[in-house]
Amino acid sequence: MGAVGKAVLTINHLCMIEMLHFQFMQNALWASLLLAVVVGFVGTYIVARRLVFLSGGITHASFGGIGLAWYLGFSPIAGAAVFAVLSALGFEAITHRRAMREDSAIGMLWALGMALGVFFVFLTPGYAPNLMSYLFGNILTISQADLGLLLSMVVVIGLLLALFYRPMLFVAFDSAYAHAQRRGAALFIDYTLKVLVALSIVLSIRSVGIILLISLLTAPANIANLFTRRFGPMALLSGGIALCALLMGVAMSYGLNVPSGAAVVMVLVAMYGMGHVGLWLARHLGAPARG
Amino acid sequence: MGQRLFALTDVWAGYGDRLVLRGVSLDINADDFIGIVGPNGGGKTTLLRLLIGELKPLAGRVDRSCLNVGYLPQVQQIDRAFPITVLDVVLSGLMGRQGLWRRYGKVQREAAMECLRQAGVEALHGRSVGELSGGQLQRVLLCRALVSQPELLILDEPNTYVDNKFEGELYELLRQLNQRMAIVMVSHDLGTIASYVKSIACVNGTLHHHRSSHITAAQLRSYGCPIQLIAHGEVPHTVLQHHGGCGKGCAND
Repeated sequence: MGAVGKAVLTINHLCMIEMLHFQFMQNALWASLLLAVVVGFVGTYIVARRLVFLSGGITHASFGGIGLAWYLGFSPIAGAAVFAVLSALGFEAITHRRAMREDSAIGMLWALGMALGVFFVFLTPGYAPNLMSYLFGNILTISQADLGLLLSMVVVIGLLLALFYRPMLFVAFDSAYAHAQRRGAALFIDYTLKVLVALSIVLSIRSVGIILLISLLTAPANIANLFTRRFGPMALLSGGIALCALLMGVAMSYGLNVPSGAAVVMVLVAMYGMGHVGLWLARHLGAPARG
Repeated sequence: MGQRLFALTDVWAGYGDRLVLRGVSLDINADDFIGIVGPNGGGKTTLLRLLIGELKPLAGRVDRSCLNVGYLPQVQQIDRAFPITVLDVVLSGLMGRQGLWRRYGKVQREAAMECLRQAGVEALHGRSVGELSGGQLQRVLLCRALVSQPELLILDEPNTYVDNKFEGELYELLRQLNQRMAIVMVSHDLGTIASYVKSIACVNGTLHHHRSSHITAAQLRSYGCPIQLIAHGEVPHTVLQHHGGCGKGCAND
């Protein structure tokens, strides 16, 4: 893994060889790779379709599921998945029926999710030791089971892209037109992708945390969008960018003992700034030299 | 009179508890070219949404015997920051035929390219929509509407954001297309479209289909259609500007 080594070298080259021997570090690297694929597609989709705020709402609503599952003694990830999918489908129904302002609905569910989560965590007897890791994420604690879930998500995304790439693109570009042409197909795409976005969010929580996740979904796609305005290349490039940021986040998390989520976000925003600077330089250096 | 493609029978439509269209009936036949006029908020857009199937009526019947409807929305409804190429935009017009499972292969791509060629924007096929001018985007969207060779073409204010040159070409193109398909066009500019359309439908809460392209200010008034009728001469001037009260169309509420 040359790229991995390079990223780590910049942080703490003495630890490089040593850290790769740990199982948790190998898990973190695999998680970075799988997450990058998920984020590359899902992030590009929500950025292109302007679903960023909705995705933030789904992310925070899922915390309610984590709290409730904790209280009842279930798997927190399963609780988060149920809450995330239900809120995604709820938003979808609200959009179709125009029952209320969509952004207001998102705002209310956003806070309700957090409130329910805190409520149930405090109702649960004893101390909740992992609360911080759900809020801020820790890619170094990813388990084999988490990896399995991420891998299945990558397979599902690959299948959907292979089968429905163009219909997905068309529905995302102009939903009203797609619905007018093929209502059934457009509805299928709409609901499938909402569920996919919700589950992808839940599977990313362990690595970057609820509070910082939205940045991992939006920043890579926006950095990629500086260089391309086509969906396919944008998704590939943002996957690559996410991978770089996640690997650097892992290295910083290990080397500096900070939460991986925070490190990843700072790297991403720095990359976004560097992207702008790079474009500016290319424009000015590429122009003919002024006499 | 051609075969009947579409029939709205006593249709009521609206959003939530806001009623926009009351008791609208309209037949669209295969050789029709209908210009839809009416004041803002009168229900023109709601009528279009019924026709393209985006909106379900609250009451009444919509009988649709043609499956293939092409639609040109207003250009500002398109998200121009969306990362998609011109060729893919045109291909998206085939989704009605291809559905979820069928591929978009060589045949489909060639049909889309042929459309772009006819619209004179073939060279733009690899560009993204964000790189197009308003007029270019409108041509591309027209290609999307036509690529499936629809039996009915619906246009929403096609003359809003185009240059004069394209506007002339557009109307000439529509006249030719009308030999193959029915056309329904919403416009705020009755004066311009009157010489191209075959009939005029006036929408203001309800709908009056005037089966001729000649319409007088008095007729418009009697239809409850307070729109501006601009006579084209040396200096454009408004023949009908003010409309007092409510016509017979909305007198019953």
